[in-house]
Amino acid sequence: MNLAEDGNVLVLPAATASLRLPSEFGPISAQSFETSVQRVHIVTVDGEIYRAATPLEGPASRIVFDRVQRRFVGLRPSIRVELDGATDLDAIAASLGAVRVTAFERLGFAIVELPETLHPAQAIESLAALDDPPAASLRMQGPPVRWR
Amino acid sequence: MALVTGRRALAPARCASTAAATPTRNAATAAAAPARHAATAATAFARRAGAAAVATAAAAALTACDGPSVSEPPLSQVSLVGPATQEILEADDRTIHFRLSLDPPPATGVSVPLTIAGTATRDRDYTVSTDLLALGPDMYWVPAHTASGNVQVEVYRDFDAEGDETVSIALGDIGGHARAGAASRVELRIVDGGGVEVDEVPDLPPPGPVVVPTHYVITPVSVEFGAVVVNFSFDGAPADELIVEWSSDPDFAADVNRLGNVYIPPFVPGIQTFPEPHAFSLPLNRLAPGGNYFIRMYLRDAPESNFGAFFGGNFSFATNARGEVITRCEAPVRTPGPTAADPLFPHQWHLSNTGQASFTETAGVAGADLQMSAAIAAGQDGDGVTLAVVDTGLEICHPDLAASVKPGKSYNFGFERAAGASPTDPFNHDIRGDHGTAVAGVAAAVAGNGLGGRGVAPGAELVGFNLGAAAVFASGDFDGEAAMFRSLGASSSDPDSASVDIFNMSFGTEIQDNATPDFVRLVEMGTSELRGGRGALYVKAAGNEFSGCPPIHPLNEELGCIGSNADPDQNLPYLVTVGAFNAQDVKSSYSNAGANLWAVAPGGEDGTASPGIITTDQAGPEAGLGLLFGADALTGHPTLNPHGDYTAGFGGTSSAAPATAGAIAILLGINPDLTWRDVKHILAASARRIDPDIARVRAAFNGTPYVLRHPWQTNAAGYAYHNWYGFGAVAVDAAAALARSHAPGSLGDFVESAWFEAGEPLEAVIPDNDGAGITHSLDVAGIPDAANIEAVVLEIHADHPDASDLAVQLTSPAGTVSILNTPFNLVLDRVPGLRGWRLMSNAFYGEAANGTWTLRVLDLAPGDTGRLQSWRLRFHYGDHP
Repeated sequence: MNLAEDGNVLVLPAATASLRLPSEFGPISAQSFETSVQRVHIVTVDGEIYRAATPLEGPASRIVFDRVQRRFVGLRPSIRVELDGATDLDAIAASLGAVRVTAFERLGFAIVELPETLHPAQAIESLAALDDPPAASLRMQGPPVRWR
Repeated sequence: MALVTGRRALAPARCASTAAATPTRNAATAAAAPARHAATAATAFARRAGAAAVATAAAAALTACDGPSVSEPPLSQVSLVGPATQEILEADDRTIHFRLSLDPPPATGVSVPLTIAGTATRDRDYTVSTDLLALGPDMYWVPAHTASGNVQVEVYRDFDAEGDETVSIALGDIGGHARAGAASRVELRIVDGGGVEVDEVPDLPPPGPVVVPTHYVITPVSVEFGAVVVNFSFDGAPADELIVEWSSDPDFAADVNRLGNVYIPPFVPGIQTFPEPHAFSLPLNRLAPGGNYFIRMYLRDAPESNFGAFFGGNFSFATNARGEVITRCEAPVRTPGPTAADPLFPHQWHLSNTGQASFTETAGVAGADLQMSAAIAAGQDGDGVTLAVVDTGLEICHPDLAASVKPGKSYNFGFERAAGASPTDPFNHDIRGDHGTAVAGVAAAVAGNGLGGRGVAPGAELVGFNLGAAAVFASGDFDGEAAMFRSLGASSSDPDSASVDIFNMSFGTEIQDNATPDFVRLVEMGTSELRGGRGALYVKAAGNEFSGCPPIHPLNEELGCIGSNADPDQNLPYLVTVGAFNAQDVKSSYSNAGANLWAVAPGGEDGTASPGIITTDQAGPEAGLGLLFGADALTGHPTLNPHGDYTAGFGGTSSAAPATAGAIAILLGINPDLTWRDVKHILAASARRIDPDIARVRAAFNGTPYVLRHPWQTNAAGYAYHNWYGFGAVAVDAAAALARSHAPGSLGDFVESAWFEAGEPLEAVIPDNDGAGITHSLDVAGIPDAANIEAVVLEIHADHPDASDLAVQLTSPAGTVSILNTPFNLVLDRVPGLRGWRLMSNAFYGEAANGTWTLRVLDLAPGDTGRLQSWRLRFHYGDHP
């Protein structure tokens, strides 16, 4: 369980866990536990309680809590990697076993699609262990668009 | 005032100076009455006013005029002219006008007291004002030779349950050479509009669980698809059963076949659920070749749970003679008419509104169109401009689109998942209408081919990117966001969107949030790097959620259900956000309103009672929007639509956007060197002010009136703006004229300022249910004096149990008022506060930024209280040399 780089989202664990975050993150705590069919996450912020239920495994089990918007958000099965002159996308793809890498050079980042078994937070942790770690971040699901 | 003429020369000479001393702002003016009345008037006035100064002045007047009497003029009869009794509906927010009549006009001034009484509470339920000089509370001065004055009673609309109330106004003891006439009293009966306690109004009906698709794959032998059941309301729901059926009948009245059913466990209240998708497979060998097939998914106990086609909640497709799903465009054979004229053009009111009814019950208003007759006559058609339809698809072989399509440049994001599909053919296999094909026809359907109608810019080159193949899916491995980046200029191949000039975005989302940093980066890049650095144009549909909602407040009817600020991307200055107007030249009933609109363009209405938009539809009689919305007036029309290639029932801001995109293509065709900002400037400067007399909407909250919707306002830079219309209706010919004369790049450098912070955390209480609200100011300095604002972005933090109670208003140093969030915005319903929400206003376009800006936040519903925590402003401006 950790707060993502910008400090605004709390990555919820894929196992039973309990954590009270350091005070610099404000009054927020989280608990996760499993039943036979699902995992329940309980986040408390400023005395308000927020709850979510996910499957025990699979892409739908990977969620975060957005502490600004006060809601749970699903993770996309990919991560975002900032491009700079030194970013070696091939090496990153190889180290993660990436399904596909789409580089948006005009935008200065790439999207690295992950194998189904790899949690995006784990992917970011493993990149952080590289010698020259890239700036990588989680990608949250957005609401579906509506045609107008 | 000291005139002494003829028979009305009343006062003796030694008194004249006193009489002539026409009062200004003190009670001594009462002394201007003729001598014999002066004492009475002055004394009476002094008694009523209780002012020693008055009495002194009156006495002085009496002394000064204590001379021999002169010939008497007739007494002036003072009357209150107007119905003696009136019944006013409080909800009408009316001002009642009475006339104070003086007959004959008095030779010298008279004082007129008004006695105002009744059960209504003054300055809470109503106010009284006059154009007369006030001598004191309810005491007025009527100068000599004045025949009338005006008395207005403004009756406030409010939402307090008070019962009917009364206001009576009567003439008191008149001072001076006058007396009350026969009509000396009026009475108003204010019929209460009833009360509303927003927080106790039943909430929106819980939507309950809904079925949302997650993926589809078309293989040579089957159609594979998935869905999840989600409960957006968190209200809980009992266990149910997901049922999946297919049929050859679009109405599922016959040939209904069960494909699967899945137990759905109950939803526990208050828990946000992230379910695993359920997968289904329809073997093609169960289907006949050459057929049309429909799949529906719903909950057994909640048939309305089907999320609807615009969410892809259903699938449909057709099979070819080999029994395969048709996944690419197969060009139909069509024979043009005897002349090159487009037979539907005379009915396309949005291009030329002659007052035609366009197959509906209601005639349009001549001139309520894009005002582009000169452009059409001159053949200005967007030649050489590439326009991307980023949408559900694009029928690239449509008889009225094919010649406008740029060969090989479109892209199908779903081609890897659809057997037989081509990566450059964004074909939509769903046969219940292809939104993108209709959008494309509005922008650039071929002109002069003897078929159907025409587009706004038939010379533009169309490319289609079917974002809909990915972006409607909320989960799974469809990456709608990546597809969005690839569609909107960040990709040079597969697809090549970087070579596009104009992106049409007839889609959006509604959520209280800010645009993602990556989307901001995308449009910053697109507007600074594409088109050789002149910037691509991103044209966005504002949304269709103004009407039709279960209201949380009666004002939703006038203010709308969801504002255009609810789409995070629309609060960015890089987009051209467009609302819709109809054939009657007023806002389309559904079109979202807000301060981030740039303009409006034709969107029409339903196409049945009032004209919709006539455009291209999926080719062929067995496919098209009619399967979704029902037949429209063109369905089956033997001469104008014999093959079923067109619809008269399109519309929405989805239509207004491509109409604007087409207009922009014409401008870029005329002057390719225009920057994206030049284009926006030209659209604003040339826009047509429609609905010019649109009235304000005002209501009192806790006795203080607040204007919730302003009339058109002209800002300090001379630009007229309205939250319903932006700068007005796109006017192509006027814009084209400006495009010819405008010097590209003359708007200076585009600068984004730093944030101007409003100081320490405020934690200021926003008074509950109060029309005054809380105000806070911010001094802005350091922006170049010659800079012109192009957009202002407010970021606000406010805590409140239900943010839909809140209105947010910003006033510029020049006094321009812009409402950035209208109260009762359903996107905020039960949302706990505004959490760093960024709201943009275009209303200050052209003004200077330096000076004092004032934020006003109001809580306009009772029952709960919030706090303004912080706010800051950022300016986007043109920095002139």
